[in-house]
Amino acid sequence: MKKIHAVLSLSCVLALAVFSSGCNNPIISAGKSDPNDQSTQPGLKRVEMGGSLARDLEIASINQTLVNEDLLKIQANVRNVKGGDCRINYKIEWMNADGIVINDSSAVWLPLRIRGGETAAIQSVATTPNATNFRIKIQKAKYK
Amino acid sequence: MKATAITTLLALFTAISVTSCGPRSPVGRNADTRYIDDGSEKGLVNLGKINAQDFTRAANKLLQDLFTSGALAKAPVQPAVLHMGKVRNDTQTYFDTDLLLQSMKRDLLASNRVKISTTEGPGGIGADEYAQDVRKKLELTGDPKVNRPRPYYSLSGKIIEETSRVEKVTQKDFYFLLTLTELDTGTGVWFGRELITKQGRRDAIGF
Repeated sequence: MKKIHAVLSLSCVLALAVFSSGCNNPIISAGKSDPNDQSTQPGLKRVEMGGSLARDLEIASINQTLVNEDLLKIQANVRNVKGGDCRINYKIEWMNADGIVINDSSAVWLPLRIRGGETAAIQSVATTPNATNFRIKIQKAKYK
Repeated sequence: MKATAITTLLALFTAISVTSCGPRSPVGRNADTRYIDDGSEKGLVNLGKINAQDFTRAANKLLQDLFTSGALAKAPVQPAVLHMGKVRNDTQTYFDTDLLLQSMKRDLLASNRVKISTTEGPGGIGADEYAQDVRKKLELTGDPKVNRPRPYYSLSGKIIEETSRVEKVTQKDFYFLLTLTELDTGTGVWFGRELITKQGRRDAIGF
């Protein structure tokens, strides 16, 4: 009887562990702290939801410039602070001056592999001159 | 007795946790269909075909490259008229190339650098045949509002598929190749290339 209880308890604990790890894929995101900041290295506002990704990755800095005369181009420098490879998915959402998300082809999750200690450049170009701010979302990829 | 109570409590807690946050229990035995977002990372990933998220990714990357090149900003009159030419599907699966082009057209228009004709096309056939007919009739009546702005750019290209195999691992390379031609000079002013590579043994749900 004791054995059955032990097995059942262990199964429950295991099920909980598997369940929580499968459902817990938090997103870390970052954007400009001041949407009107037009400097080449704008200040960052980070929103981190915890989880191991926040410990493994660091959004070191962001650069921005204008291309095609009036379209904002940004580059987020993401560093893998751990020794092993890190596979992530990222998405960039562009927003207008009122903070409304612009519906364009940027709204797609893109895969990226960052080797241990490496800094990867995530780039995106706004598709409209109305885009003044952005939000980068990063989450762990499903497969290692 | 105590052990039974603990086990029961644990089992109850597990059941509540799983049912409260996990996927809802299907009504039928295998009913698990759900909606996923456009461009979601939960979409199917097929080794042998271009999936929805691949089209969006290719369109986005090609446009970013085009905008970064500054080619569209060089037209003397802006917004310049862009003719959307043919994009040939040279892959093994059939799909409508508008899956790639429609979102590109939307984003190109949003850039305010180009206008896209829907009433001009190869062999005199435009995308909107009704509008084309109406314009033709108005032209015959001499309506001064009907004008035919000459395209300044033309966008064309092809999509190529390459397959490689090592043991049981397959790699599919999908090349999206687009060219922007300036009609006045007849020369290419931008050559875009986006490669989407998939590698694996079998298809997957999500990535």
